Amino acid sequence: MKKILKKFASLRITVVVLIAGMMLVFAGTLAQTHMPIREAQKIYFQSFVVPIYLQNGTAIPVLPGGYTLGIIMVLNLLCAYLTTFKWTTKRMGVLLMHSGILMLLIGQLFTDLYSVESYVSLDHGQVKNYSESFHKNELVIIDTSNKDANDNPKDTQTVYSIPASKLVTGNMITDPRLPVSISVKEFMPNANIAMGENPRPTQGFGQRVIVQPAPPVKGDQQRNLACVYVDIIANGKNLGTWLLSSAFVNPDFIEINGREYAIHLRAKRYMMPMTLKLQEFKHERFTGTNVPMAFSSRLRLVDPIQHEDRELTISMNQPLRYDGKTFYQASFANDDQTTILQVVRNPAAVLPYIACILVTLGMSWHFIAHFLKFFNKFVKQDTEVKA
Amino acid sequence: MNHLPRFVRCTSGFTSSMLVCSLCILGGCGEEEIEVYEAPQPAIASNTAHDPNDGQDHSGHDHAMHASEPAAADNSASTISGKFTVELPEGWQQTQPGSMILHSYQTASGADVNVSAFPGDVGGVAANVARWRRQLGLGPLTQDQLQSSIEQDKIGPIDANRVDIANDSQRMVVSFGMVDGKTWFIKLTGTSDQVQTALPKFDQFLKTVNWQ
Repeated sequence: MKKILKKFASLRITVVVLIAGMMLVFAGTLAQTHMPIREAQKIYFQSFVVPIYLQNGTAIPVLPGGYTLGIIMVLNLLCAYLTTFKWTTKRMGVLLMHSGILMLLIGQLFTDLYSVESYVSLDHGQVKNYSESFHKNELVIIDTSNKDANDNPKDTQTVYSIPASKLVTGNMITDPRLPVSISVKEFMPNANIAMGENPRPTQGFGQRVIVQPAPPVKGDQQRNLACVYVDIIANGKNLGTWLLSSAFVNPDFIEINGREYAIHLRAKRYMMPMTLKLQEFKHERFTGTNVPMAFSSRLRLVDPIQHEDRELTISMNQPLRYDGKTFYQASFANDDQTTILQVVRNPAAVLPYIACILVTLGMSWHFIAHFLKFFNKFVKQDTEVKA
Repeated sequence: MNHLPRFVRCTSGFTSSMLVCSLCILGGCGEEEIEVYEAPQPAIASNTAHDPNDGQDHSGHDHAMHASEPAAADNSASTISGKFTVELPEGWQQTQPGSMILHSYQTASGADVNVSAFPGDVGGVAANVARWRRQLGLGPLTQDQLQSSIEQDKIGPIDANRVDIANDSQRMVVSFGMVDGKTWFIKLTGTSDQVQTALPKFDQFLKTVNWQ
């Protein structure tokens, strides 16, 4: 066991991993010139291997991915501590520094795995109690009857959310919780859309829209217009074919067993416990120019559960932290009538702070230990000279 | 490993387990599942028109017509559509819009005003002008003629273009401009006399347009 640990603790591995890391960062940075940042991050840093694709589609791994290097680095560091590290007070500084680096690596892993980014777009006077995903879509079936299973009135709407990742051409989506089954006839991650008679759907607004599959957009600021042809099956009966698109503003409606359901392909929503209302959006410019100086949103926040009803301002360096999420002033649109807030939920947000504190403490410890050693030596030499 | 401090020896098993767990977490991530949840109504009333995405039936129209025109690819565009507001001039009447039209009106002189919006630039100005000219039985323009036929205009708060096309009997005045990735077209059509009479109020109508 000790031999294996020692092999893993080799400094050669550390050097190789660091060089591979540099190559990965270089390649990942170059890749961002011809692909969106999030795509490059996924391929180079949030992966185990980085492949290149041959003309026949065969993937050949050329570099270890970020996860592989991170895991090897963590193992290498831990093994070094378990086998070769001298556990003395003098070395405590190095231990603290390495603990901080370990925490940074692990924190980044947890951020990759568990952080969720979305946005809230609010027009002046508009209210919302949800944020929307930048890139993910969902097919939702919403029971709009505002009645529970026993037909008692209720204030909420039941939402059945099917992630777009399940909308694979030829897939049959069945779930005992869903009021219908959905047969996916064709899914288009992006499409060009125009008004016109479309004979393929037999139901809904999509009959008036022509769609042509298009390659996914490259820019990070653009959004794909996903489209899907689906057959909806209820009580063993095929109700027809619908064309749904994330470009459609409003849902289609179907009636099943006397209940009305809205069916819609839309940006994935994350419900919030509170409601936000945009009271005012301010966009200040440098005098005499159109150069933005600052922008801020004055909002009203109402949370019935926490009995909160207050006004607050979110500006560029003054985010709102609420319900484990951080709301940043990200952008604006529509002639300053619309504010766009970025919402970040990151359970590991505190780890980099702890890591920085550990590294600072470690460096201070290391510096003071060396300084004291030098100082004592200096005093000793001085005493000897005087003597 | 006897040279190691006791707590390290005791926790090495735990550390290994944590690493194995981390790998398992990594392996199990990325799978999205079907969710069922209760969506509450917002706790405050909105000042604006309804959010068209809320799944609520606010229009009272036939359900087959609920879905509206495609929104633009822009993230914020879905919040713009459906919130077109305007003040109707005296004597104008709202009429039933056609399948590709968002709002239709009839002027006091009998001319038609149609409002529509489509994602992107809908082929560009030249293609649109050529199409409108074809509708009136007119041929295409040269680049210079096209440039001189386009006037600067305003639709409410936005900068827009205007083209005025006429044949012997029919006339068409179109103001069009882009709002958040969508091109909005406001078209006045009718006989030459009808359009000429309606023009002052059409200009007044354009000034009152807003997206709230």
